[in-house]
Order: sequence, then C-alpha cells, then structure tokens
Amino acid sequence: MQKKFLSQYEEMLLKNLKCSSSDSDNIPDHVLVEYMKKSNLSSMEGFYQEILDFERNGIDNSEKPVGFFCNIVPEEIMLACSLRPVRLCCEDYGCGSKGEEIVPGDICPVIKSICGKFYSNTYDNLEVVVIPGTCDPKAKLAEILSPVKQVYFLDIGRNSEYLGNVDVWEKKYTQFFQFLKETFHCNAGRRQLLSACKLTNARTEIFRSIYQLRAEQPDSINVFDYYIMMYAGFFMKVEKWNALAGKVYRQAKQIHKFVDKPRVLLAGTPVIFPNFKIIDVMEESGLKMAADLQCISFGRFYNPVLIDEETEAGILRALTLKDIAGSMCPCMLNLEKLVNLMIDTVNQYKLDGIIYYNLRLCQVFELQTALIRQILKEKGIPFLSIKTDLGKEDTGQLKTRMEAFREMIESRKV
Amino acid sequence: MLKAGIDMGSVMVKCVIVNGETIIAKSAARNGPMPEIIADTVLQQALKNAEIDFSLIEKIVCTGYGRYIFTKAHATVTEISAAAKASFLLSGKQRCLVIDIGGQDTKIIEVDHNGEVVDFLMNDKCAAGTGRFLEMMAGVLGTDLHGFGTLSLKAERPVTINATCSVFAESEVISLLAHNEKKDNIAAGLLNAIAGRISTMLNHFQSQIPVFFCGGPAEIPGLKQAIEKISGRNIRIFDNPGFVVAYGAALCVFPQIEPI
Repeated sequence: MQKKFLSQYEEMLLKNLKCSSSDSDNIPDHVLVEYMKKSNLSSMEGFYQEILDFERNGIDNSEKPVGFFCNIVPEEIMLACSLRPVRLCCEDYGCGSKGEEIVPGDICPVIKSICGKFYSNTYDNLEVVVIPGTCDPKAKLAEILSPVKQVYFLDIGRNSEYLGNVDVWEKKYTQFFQFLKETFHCNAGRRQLLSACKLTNARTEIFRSIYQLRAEQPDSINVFDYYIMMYAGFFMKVEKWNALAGKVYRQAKQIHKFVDKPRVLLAGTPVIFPNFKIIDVMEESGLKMAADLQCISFGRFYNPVLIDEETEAGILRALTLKDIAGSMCPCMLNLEKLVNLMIDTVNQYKLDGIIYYNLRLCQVFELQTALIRQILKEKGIPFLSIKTDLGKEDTGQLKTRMEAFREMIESRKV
Repeated sequence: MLKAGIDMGSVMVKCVIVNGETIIAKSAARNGPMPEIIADTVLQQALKNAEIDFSLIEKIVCTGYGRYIFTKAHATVTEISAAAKASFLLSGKQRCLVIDIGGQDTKIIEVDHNGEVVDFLMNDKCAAGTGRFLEMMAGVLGTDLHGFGTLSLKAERPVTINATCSVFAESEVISLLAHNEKKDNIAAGLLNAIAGRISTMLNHFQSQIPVFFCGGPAEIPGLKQAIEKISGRNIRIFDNPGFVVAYGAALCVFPQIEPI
C-alpha cells in the first residue's frame, strides 16, 4: 500500500516538476541590463555577462555541475573532486509563483522559487543536488526533489557549538567526500582538498578587500554591483570569479566617492538576484548599504579555511569550523553571537544603523527580530526591521519606512 | 512665516496652513484617481478659509504615501517624522508615544524629550487594523466609521473576531450577520480585534511613556477606550486628529528634507 502511494506520489511530482521546457523562467535580460546601467565600473561587465550566459545556457554538462544549497555544504570538497559547485538558492517572484503549483503558497519563498526553478528545467544538467538539513523546509525539499534528481542529504545538527559537535560534523563531511568520490569516480584526497582551500582562501582575501572598501566608501562599488558579484559567485568558476573580482577591486579603489548619506548594516535574509527590492528601496530612500551580515556574502566569503593539521581529516575539520561553526544562518547561529557581531560591525565601520531584512515566512529569522530589536535599542543603535516577500506591491510602504529611518538617523546627527 | 502642510493619505488628503506654530486654516477631501488635482483643490480651499493668497505661502511640505505626487510642494517628509514633529509640540514637548492610524498602515512612533524619533513600528504588508479595514467593515455593517463606533458602544456581548486578514474578516462578519448576531456586538468585536493588534505593537515600548493618538480613525467612538482596556495604558487623542500629520509636515524644517 505504502509502495503504491509512493509511486503515485513520485509520478505526480515528476509530472509537476518536469513540465514542458517552453515554460522557461529564466530571468529576463532587461532586468539585468537595468542594474548594469547603474554601474560605474567597466570591470563589472564580466560579471553581468557571466549571469546573462548562465541564465541563457546554464552550465555545460561536461563541467560536472553539482547543485547545492546553503554555506554548510562545503564547496571545497566538490572542487577537490573536480566538480563545478552551483549554488541553487533562489529568490525569484516568477519562479516562486510557479513553485506554488508544487508546494503551498504560504511557505518559505526560497523553497517555492527553487521548486519553480526545477519546474522550468533550468537545472536539467545537474547530476546531483546536495541539500543540507539546515532548516525544516530544506529537509523536506530533499524529499520533494528526490524523484527528479539524485539528492544527497547532508544531515547536520543545528547547533553551531564547535567543540561539542566537531566530531559529528567531520564524520558527515567525510561521508560526503566519499559519496562524491564514488559517484564521480575520482581519487581526490588531501592534495586536492588543499588546492581547493587555497582557491577559496584567495577568494576570501579579495572579498575582504572589497568588503572593507565598501564599508568605508559604499559607492566605490555600488550595492547592486556588490550583490551581482555575490550572485555570479553562485555558479562561476572560483578562479574566474577571483580574477574578475580582483579587477573590480582595483578599479573601484581608484574611485573616491564621499557619501554624505547614512551608512547602514544590512542583516537578516540574503539578497539574491533578481530580488533586489530591498536594496532598490534603500538606495531610493537615501540609505547606503555599507556592510552586510548575510549568508550569501559575508557568511560565505569572509572567513578563510584555517588548517591546523594538513591531513585529510584535519582539512575536513577546518572546513567544518568555517562552514558550520561560522554559519550565519539563524538556525545555527546563537542569537548572542549574532547581536555581538552586529554591534562590532557597526562600531568597527562607524555605521549609522542596522536594517534587519526578514523575508516573510522564514520563521527563524522572524523569531529573533523582537529580541534583537530590544537589545540594539538598549545599546542606542538605530534599528529597523523590514518584513516583506518577493512581490513588489509593498514598495511604497517600504519606502516610507526606510525614508523615516533615514530621517531619524539624520535628525540624531543634527 | 506662512507654511502649508499637505498630507496625501491613501483615503483622505488634508491641508493645514500655519503661521509660525499656529494653525490658521485647514481643509480636507477624499482622495481619488487624480490625487494631484485633489491636493491642489484642498490647498486652494485652505487658502480660501484663511483668506490669503497663494503667493504668501513661503513653503509647502508634502507628506503621506502620495508625497511625491504634488509638484507644487517644495519638500517632502515621511508621515512618521511629520507625526512626531506635531505630536511633540501638541503634547507639550514631552517624551511620548504616538499611535497613528492611517488609511493603509498603522504606526507607533516613539518621540524622545528632544522631539526626535527614536523608534517606530508599522504594521506589515497587511491591511488589518488600518483605516481602510475599518471602512470596509463599517460598509459590511451598513454604516460609516462614526456609526460603526457608535454601534460598538451599545454592545452587550462583543463577539470574538478570529480572522486577522481583511478579506477573511469580512467573510467572518458576513457569516456572523447570517447567524443573526447583533451588529453592535460585531462592531465591538472588530474594534477589539484592532485594539488587540495595536496593543501588541504598543507592548514593544516602555509602559510609562505617555501615549497620544492621531489619524482620522482616532475619532471613531470606542476605539480609544478599546485600546486603553486591552493595553492598560491611558491614551489621549489630539484635537482634530486627522490633521495632525499635515500640521507636522507644515512645521518640518529639518535640514534633511530634500527638494522634489
């Protein structure tokens, strides 16, 4: 009976997820071109071109693309196996609407968008999708996608306390490494892992330079270009990303743009292209995003892999320290650590306030909002929490909030 | 110095003309598909009421959701800063909390002893608890906002409204009417539901800060009492609460105001 149910269930999912390829949900070029026009850096062209190519053509099969979600899936292990990691986290209104044909409308918009993306055959080339058990919707997503893709479920406990869990994490990463080696018939080991870490550490170095530059001069690389770079990093080869980002940094460093507008820290849910609503409104309201604490940018790139012991096990342990113990996801990160990080970032870069962005229906981000608000208020740090979704109908209301926040900061300065 | 403040709300457009800090004229009209023309009409009416010529107005500051629409305005300010500015003056320059119910959003603003906004909360992307919601519900009960409040005062046994969404609340009200529930009890139930939402927002702020109430819906009979009862705080309604934000806009001379 159960078997019969499962087969019917799988058939239904297959039917829903594999609809005709004419229903493509790729992001229209003009959306990208709109942001490209706002760029003041010729060196950014390479990133925009990479996204255009990716949206049109996807990743070639010969590159052995492997899809993954969240930072706790270690890219270095995939790179060591000569695979092409492709981060699938998606925030696209069109895909989200399509995803509602598979999953309910009142669930995480990221999950809806991902389902919509699979619906449109965008990820046909992926041989394996790695889904971590970061949150409940992701865990369920592993089941939902398993009829159409080979899914590897990286089941990791949600406590980022390093000393208590490092053995378990190391074991999980070892199993994952083993799975990839068997699936893709490769003999990767310590040497390949070290090369991969070297590559991502080089990326961290460039990212840190960019982060520092933007914190001081947010318009040296405008906020759209910054998030375009982060999005391109979802699928670009690390070497190429490093080279292009290096070029952007060198060009941006020459530009000295004094910004006489409030500089703020953006924390909370990630900003993923094409869902730039929050940063569009921030810019229109005269607020400059000078630093962020989001998983797709700071969380992914800021910390290097710090290897104490250059054995295979030692490298895998170092990766768990970076990816799991250092995770920015509210499912993993202790609230106190997050608030301290917010306060430190504001103090370090002398920022004027914090905007906490909460993508509606991610309950974990939402759950901690009231507490964060209370703590920061006691510290005298201007704080604005924004709860919204992928639709644009509340843009006017958001603008009122952001402008009022700007006015509040400016009147304090006076 | 004569100045005009225009609050282009989603439901009503209000204009206040001030001489210094004194209101010398005001006017209002319902908003519609041509808001700029309505704003101009409201301004002209206020000028007529004040018996002064347009040329004597030194500055026009526009606020509200349609603040960028009125091209005659010299500057814009958000309704949050405008409400704070006016409330500080009207409250006798003290630290205070302001409840401002507008057509499409509800706000709680904390103003410090210098008259500056230190914090504010707004309802999220949802109409429940806003002026528009109250109008919708009054319509379902076959009355207007004032009649709606008056009904609630006669309630003997207010119903509990469960829906927090405007559309579902409307269905719930229709269903209650179909079950012969008294309109008085339904109206009181709806006001209690809104008062509950506002009290939840108020609870994010310290309890000893004096609370003031502005926005057109502040005049609905029974709403202030419902909020007081649920939140356990005393609330004072400003005179002419619907004009408070326009008054605040007229007073705004913040350096941050940018020309349109």
